[in-house]
Amino acid sequence: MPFKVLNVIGKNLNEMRRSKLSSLIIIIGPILIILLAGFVFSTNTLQGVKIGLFEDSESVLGDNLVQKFREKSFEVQEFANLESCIDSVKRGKNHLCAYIEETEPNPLGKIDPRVNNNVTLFVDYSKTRIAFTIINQVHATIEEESKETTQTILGSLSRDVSKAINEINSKEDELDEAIESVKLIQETLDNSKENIEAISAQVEQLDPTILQDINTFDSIMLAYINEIENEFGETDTTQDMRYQIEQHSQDIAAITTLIQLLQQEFNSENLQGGLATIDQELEDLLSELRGIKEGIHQINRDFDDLEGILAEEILNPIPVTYSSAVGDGKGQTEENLKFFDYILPGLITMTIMFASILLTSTLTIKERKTRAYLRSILTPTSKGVFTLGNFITALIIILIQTTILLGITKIFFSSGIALPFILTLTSILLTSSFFILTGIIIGHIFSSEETGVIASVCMGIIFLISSSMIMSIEAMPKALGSIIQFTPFVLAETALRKIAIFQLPLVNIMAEFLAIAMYIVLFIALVSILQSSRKNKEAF
Amino acid sequence: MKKEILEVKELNLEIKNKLILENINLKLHEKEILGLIGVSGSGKSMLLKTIAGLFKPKTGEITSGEHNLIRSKKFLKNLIGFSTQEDSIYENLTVEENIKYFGKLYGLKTKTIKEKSEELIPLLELGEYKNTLAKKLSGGTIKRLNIACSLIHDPKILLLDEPISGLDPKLRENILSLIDKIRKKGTSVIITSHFINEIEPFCDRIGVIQSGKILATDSAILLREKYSNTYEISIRSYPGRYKKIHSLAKPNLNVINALTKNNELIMYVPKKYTINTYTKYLTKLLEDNNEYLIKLNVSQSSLKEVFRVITKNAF
Repeated sequence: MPFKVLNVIGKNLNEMRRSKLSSLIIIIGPILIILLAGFVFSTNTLQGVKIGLFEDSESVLGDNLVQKFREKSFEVQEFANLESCIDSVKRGKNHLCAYIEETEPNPLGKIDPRVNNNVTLFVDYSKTRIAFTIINQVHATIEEESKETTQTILGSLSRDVSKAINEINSKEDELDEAIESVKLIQETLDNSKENIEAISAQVEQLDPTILQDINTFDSIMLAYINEIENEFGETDTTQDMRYQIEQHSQDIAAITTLIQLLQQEFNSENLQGGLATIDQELEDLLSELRGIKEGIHQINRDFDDLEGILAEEILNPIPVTYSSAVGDGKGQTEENLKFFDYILPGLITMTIMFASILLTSTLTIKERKTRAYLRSILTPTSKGVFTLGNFITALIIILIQTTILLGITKIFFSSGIALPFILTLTSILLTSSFFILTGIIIGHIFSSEETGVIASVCMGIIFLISSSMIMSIEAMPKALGSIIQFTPFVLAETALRKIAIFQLPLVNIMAEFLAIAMYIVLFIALVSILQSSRKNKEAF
Repeated sequence: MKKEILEVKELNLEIKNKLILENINLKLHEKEILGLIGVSGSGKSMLLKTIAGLFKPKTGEITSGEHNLIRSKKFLKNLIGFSTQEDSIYENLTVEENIKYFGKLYGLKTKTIKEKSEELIPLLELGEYKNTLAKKLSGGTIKRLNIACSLIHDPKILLLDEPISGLDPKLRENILSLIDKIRKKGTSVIITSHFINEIEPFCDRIGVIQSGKILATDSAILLREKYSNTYEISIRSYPGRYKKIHSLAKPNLNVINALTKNNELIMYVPKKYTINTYTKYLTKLLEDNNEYLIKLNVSQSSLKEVFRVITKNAF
């Protein structure tokens, strides 16, 4: 029997070798697939994206967006009205229509004219995968512009606040002078209680203009805090600043009341009796003025802190760092792997699947349909020998194809994947075996090559759809997802991914291997049943 | 008396509740060529396929000596070589590769295959095409390769289903001569064909099959004696007024049927007189009517005529 199997394999290989088209497909097929996939996935940018643009009125935002789109090699076409812009998306001329709508100016418009606009994107969702990629790309561009606008607004606010702070700082001397004046009144009051008239004159002059300046400063600071909180929400620093400003108001009110009280006291007839009260009030005034000074210092510090953290914390409140879960076992590091490497296990499994199913179904149908098969079954050779011969022939071809495929990934795309030989070979053999048996079953069920090819392609697509190659299993209904994760394609891809990307040992891949092996056993039984049930239909 | 190598007894074949072969009785002797003649769909190919083991008969026996061929599949497969009507070879293999491939499927050793190929290739005049791909061969050569592949395991019986169909007369003659050579080397042959007259000279016996039944099996001579009571007269003369000759001869010779073919007058007459009597009468008739005689032949009816009689009488 082994010699007969070898004979069948030899015949199959000879036939394929002589059929130029078959040889070409066997060799060129995987090369094309991998080259195409390699070129597609080695870069993650979009090419030839076309964007339609319509603005209610010319705006800085529109100009900036056009410039940014063009920097990203997007083609931008401006439209005179919204309808024609949307129509261009419907007719497939543009991938997306960006509509910049003019809105009522808000107070911040005075700071940056770009913010007076809303952007609406009209997208053709029927271009499923590309639609979301384009949305992401365009959205990222608009986000970039939005971020720049925010930074500009914040920059303007910061500049205004800085100016206010500088002004208030320059008037700190006035505050010191007021404090010194109060101190002087106290001293004079202590040392020469009899010189009441002189003290009264000093108190009359106690009217620090800095209090008004502080009021102005506080309103600027409040606008700044409001803007920051509108954009990014409350923070400890803004809360503290707001508290300090509220304290200022209270302090200023208290100071004004105290000064008025003092002036009234000095103007009253019973001055001698109220000296003790005046002393206390002066003490309070001093304390309030010191409080205000300290408050201004605190606001100053808070502003410095806020400026410091704006760029880091407020614009990016939760910094996220992405890091690959790839270990560094056996020299495989995250740095070695490219985007293409991560999709390679899926790509190899897909190539093996399609090549195995198509090749074997065609081989089986062709063998059954050939007139020579009638002579073959007249010989003392069991049908199992022919099936086994076809199985091994397909396996040899798949191994050749996979070797070519991996060779190309290494040579042309400098793949960083380091494949452990034994585990990879086991995985490829198990995967190929299952899909070859699938092809044999299709070959036994269908009578013509045409229907066989259609059935094979359909089967391949079913396997592909029910995997994470097209849509993620996690996005499917839970019940369906839990079934699909046990489909042979998913199992095979998972096993190869664990081997190639994570370099896991056999013990971690054993479950997938065993599951595929069970499928193989099941399919061998199915092939035997089909083979024996066919009898000699070929004889007709 | 030659030894029997194959016997089919009361064989009935039913496929999908339809009786395909009915009460078939057939014997094949050593070094014998048995021709099976019948119209398309008469059951010739089905009979060969049943003998070859491709179909299991409903009832009946197929034996070779003490072996029941329905049960002893392995013995059957080594006993019989079957060349199907369609060319059962791989187009993308060379002549030699095809022969070797089937040799190995029969479990022959490489040395045996080599020896057998060296014998078969010259016998079937395939020498110059040894390394040619089958798809590049002419119709006649493909038929010869088909037969070579059927003979690689040295079968005692060779079944040939329509081996000369689709070939020109010269190639038909060539293939039939080769079959004769094969018989001479010791292989018994069952051949089916609708070229009745052409296979006749090569067949020891002929079986007539119609609607799945064998109506008669015997040598061509005996079939003629049994089933033909007419002579076939063919005349070629100048200027060839065949209508007149026919009208003059008809009442005297009791002409059953007459036709003109290839500028000859062919008449069928009953075996009432001897051939010599008919010859003398017709020579005189032609002379009296100023017809210059070119050819006059009075013979037993052709096998085709016998076949017509047998199948016409069948019910």
